[in-house]
Amino acid sequence: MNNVYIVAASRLPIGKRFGAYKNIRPDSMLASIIKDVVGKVNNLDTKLIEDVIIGCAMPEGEQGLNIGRMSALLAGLPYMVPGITINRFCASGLQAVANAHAAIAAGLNQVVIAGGVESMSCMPSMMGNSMRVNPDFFVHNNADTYTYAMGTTAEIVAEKWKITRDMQDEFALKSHKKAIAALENNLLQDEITPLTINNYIPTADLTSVQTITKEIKLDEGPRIDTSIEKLLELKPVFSAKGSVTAGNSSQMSDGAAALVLVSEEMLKKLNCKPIGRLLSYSVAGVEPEIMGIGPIEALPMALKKAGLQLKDLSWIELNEAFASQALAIINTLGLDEKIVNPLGGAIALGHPLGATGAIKACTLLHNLKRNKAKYGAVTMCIGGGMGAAGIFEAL
Amino acid sequence: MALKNNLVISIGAYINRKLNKPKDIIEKAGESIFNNIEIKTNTQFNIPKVVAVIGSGVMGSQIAAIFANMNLTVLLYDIKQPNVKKILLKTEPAPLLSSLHADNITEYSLDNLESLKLADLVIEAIVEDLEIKKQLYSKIANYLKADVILASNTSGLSINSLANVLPTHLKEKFLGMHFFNPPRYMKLVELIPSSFTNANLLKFLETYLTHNVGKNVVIALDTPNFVANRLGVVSMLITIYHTLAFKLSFEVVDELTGMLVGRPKSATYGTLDLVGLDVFAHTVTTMKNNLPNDPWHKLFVLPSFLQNLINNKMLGRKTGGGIYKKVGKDILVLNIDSGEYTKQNKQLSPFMQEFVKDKSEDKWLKLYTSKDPQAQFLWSIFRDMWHYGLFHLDNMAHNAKDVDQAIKWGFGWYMGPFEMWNKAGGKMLAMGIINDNKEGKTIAKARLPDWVFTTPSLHTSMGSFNAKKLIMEKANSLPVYSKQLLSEKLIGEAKDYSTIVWENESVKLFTLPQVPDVGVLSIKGIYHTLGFKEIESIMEATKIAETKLAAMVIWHPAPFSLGANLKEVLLGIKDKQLSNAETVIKNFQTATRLIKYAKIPIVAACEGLALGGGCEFLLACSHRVLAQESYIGLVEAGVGLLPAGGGSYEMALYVSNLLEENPTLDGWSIMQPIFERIAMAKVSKSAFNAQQMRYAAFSDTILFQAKEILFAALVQAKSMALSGYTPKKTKPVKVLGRMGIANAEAILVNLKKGNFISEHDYKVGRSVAVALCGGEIDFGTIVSEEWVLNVERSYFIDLLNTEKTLQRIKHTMETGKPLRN
Repeated sequence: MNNVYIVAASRLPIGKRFGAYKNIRPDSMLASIIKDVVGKVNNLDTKLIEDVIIGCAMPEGEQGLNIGRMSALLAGLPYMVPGITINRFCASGLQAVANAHAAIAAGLNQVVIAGGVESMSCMPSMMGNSMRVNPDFFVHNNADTYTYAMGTTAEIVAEKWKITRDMQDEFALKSHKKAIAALENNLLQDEITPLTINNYIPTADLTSVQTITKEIKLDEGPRIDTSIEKLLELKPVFSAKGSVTAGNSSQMSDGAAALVLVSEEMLKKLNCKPIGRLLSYSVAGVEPEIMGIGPIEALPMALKKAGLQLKDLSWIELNEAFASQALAIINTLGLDEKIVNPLGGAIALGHPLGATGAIKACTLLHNLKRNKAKYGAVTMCIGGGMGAAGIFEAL
Repeated sequence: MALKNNLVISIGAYINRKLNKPKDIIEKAGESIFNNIEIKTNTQFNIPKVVAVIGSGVMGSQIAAIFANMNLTVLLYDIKQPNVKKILLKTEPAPLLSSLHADNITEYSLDNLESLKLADLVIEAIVEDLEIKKQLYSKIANYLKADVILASNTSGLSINSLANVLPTHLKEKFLGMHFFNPPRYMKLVELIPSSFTNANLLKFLETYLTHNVGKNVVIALDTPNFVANRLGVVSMLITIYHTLAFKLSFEVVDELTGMLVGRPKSATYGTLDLVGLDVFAHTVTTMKNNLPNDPWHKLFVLPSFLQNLINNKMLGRKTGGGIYKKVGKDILVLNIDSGEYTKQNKQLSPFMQEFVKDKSEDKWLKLYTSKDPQAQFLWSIFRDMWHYGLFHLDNMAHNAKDVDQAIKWGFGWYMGPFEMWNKAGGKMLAMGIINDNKEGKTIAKARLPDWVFTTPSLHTSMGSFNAKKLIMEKANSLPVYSKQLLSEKLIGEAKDYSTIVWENESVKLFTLPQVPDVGVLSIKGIYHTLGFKEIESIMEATKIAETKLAAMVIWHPAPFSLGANLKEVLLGIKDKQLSNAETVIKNFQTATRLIKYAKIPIVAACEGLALGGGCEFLLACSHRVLAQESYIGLVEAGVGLLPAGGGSYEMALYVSNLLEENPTLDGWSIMQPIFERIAMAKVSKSAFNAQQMRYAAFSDTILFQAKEILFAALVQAKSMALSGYTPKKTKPVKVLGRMGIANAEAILVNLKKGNFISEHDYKVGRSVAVALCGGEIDFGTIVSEEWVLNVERSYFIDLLNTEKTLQRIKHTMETGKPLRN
């Protein structure tokens, strides 16, 4: 097996659904971050890139036509660089990193770009652009749980793991506070690359088109004005007497991230410094109706493969799909809350489905480095009943 | 060719009439409805395009909403720039038709008057203070355009004294325009000219407010509180006076003076809470100050309990309590002795319990002879109201009709005070008043005018009584009223003339002399519910209309229809006669198909509720003329059923037609909102909303004036017949099938898991989805109408066969409310 190194990782600020990026195409967002991350690797001849592997949870509509290939072309990579789009729902971005790693480790490739993208502004509903539920789900026994909304599964997790409304709201508030603190202390400049966007509207005198140029520098999600009282006012969405609200669930968002992975041989050839590497990656299946607890299975599996223990980790990016599932995982695995999402999680920052895994990998690698720490993990639950976890080492 | 000639004759006839050409030409086209209608009545004034409202309080902002609903440009002013659109959108009942209509309103501060120069009509609705109003008029006078119309929404201040501060050129363009709360729903507008007001302007505004805005106008005299509030407020003061005299509780008085006597449910004290005690106090003060010689003057004082409530800022609903107070789920009532809010006790006396059931015409006289305190109370308040109304009829309004209509339209009484007088036998009542007066029981000593004894009925076929001139006065004859065909008549007035084509105990098919070749089909019976007899009769009448008439209109006074006759449905199940139920449903489908595919155009004229089967009949017509206040919905799911009179097919057809136009459309994204609103039994909040909900087409006609829907429907039907109507043909539809049903089920699964819906809701919802998606077949299958109708019917029968649906129907029949089980 060949050694594999991550030499660059960056992400766009996460935008709210119908927010900053509402008129920006997801393929254009992704192209800009690919261009950026390629530019960060000194001496890299783009013709050497052997694949662009992109995770996307809804690869359809504006994200269709193999967005991996389209974005590579839009990013100005030469035509001979191929592209592929992969889908493991919320773990797609992390899966892309794992696939790139595996290809290089197996000696199939030398330089691969991995990334993730999702514009939830482009998706009419959580069921995809054109909702098509399989009638067989309602014919087979208990298969109707496959159609549970993610929020419905979060309610079941809250009930089974005894996570109260107060616990969830408090967790959500903390997520916002950590994210705001990170913004105020300027901790994000290493991982984020701003995006300049143009909006085209008629001029006031209606005679011509004017271009309004804006630079999106920061994540849109964190709310400085939120409070326990405000969170308490929100009504449960998925269950009449439930506890899951818009306030203690992840936000719907638009985002993209990319990483450059190279072989040891290529690392030497390019004479560049690695920032980290993937030690192990695991995906586990769980019952679809409690999909939120996926990491409870996946994280220990990945740790075991890496030959590490929980106590070896100094930073965990645990995707906060819902406060209920995040708390169920933290409580069950006995995670140290101080090292879980120290800069805030998806409740504050947003969760652009397929992009999340790649975004979290960026956040983890840059923060391990900043804190001179060694090991960290990215883990998340996956709709349909799965969990994924990747163990990274900072170099 | 014949058709073309007809058209030419019609138009020609209209022109000829204008030019006074020989009569014989007109008679050839005698059936033309246009002959009787003047289309443009006045060229001196222009229909307003920009309306300004000054004052953004409850009345001002909601008057602004009326014009915003008409899609006019509305400018709303207040001292500080108002910000009321959000409040308007949250208020119930909704003043605005939609948030789109809110966009028609722009809000300004009174420091920014430049925009006022654009306004064609300016309505002032600021605080009821003569001096402040006068200051405002001086301030805005220079910002008004030359041909402006200026109106005050004062509820009782003198229009003449307001007119006095205006510059000469504005005086003749100024008048009182008094709306009632809530302005969108209360139909009355009192127009009060000053002695300067241009007489043509008054006619123009009466026409404009009636035809375009959809209001019912009463021309009032410039007397304190005008017509409706004058008698309405006195009636309330009388009720309060006798409440205290008879020592009755507020809730019992409301029980006695509400629905029991044909008044709104809010009755006396509920209404007080609704309008606000401070507003009421204001109208009382106006009467006290301006009617010093009124024999009832001692009545124009607020009783101490009301004054106390006002001092304690308990002003009614707007402050969270007044006479009544909502505590948790209970509505408590003020106990006058203790001053505390206590539980209600609405116990009626045995006499009154009998009285409620009494259907005889002279039941009011029985009150007079009864010794029962509650009966005595009721007699006393009516006696004193009639006493006041008859005594003041010569100075309160132009005639008795104006008084009755003002009270009916402004206070929501089902019968005007003089109508009641007519019905109950005025002469006998007059004897009662005289006797009580002698015994010192009446509030005032005033003597009844002599004409009371020589005028048995105040409304007659000759007109209504004018107490000043002592004659019967013909009703207002402005051309706009000729569009109000078969409008409701006051008791005593002459009925309209019509010719019966066919009639039985359930329906009648008739024509009006204005349009003898277009039939009007009316369902008899209360709420126009559709039972076995009605359906059979509609089919019969439709067949007759097809052979004898050029077109047909389905019309009867509101409501359009509350849907299928639940009692019959229930009987069908009780007797386990499901095959019988099958026949009923099949008949229903056949009837709507007969209408849909008739040889002649069939136009529905709808006002008020059109639910379930009523909605399905609307959908089957070739065109709909809707009063803006139409509340339409396929609500079958509320009683555990689904639309099976062709309603589900209509929705499937709608989606199929869109898919035919654009095959790349996602059918489910169009069907999903339709499915959700049928599964949740939603009802439209207006005709506009019905179009958004697909219960009406965007090409349908919507009128603000409900009294004109029959006219507009006849014009529409006639014009469709004249323009070469071709009957529709049945059309196959492309259905969403199993895929659509699965999508619906994915929604239902989550709602059920979250306990938002019950097991039976799930079953009903799924059945609705099956009917809308054309059965459990492959996605995209093209099927015949008959197939979809069969699916509708079989799933309907399937639901009818369940115990839970049975419980729902029973519950709704008994309580009028839906049951969740």
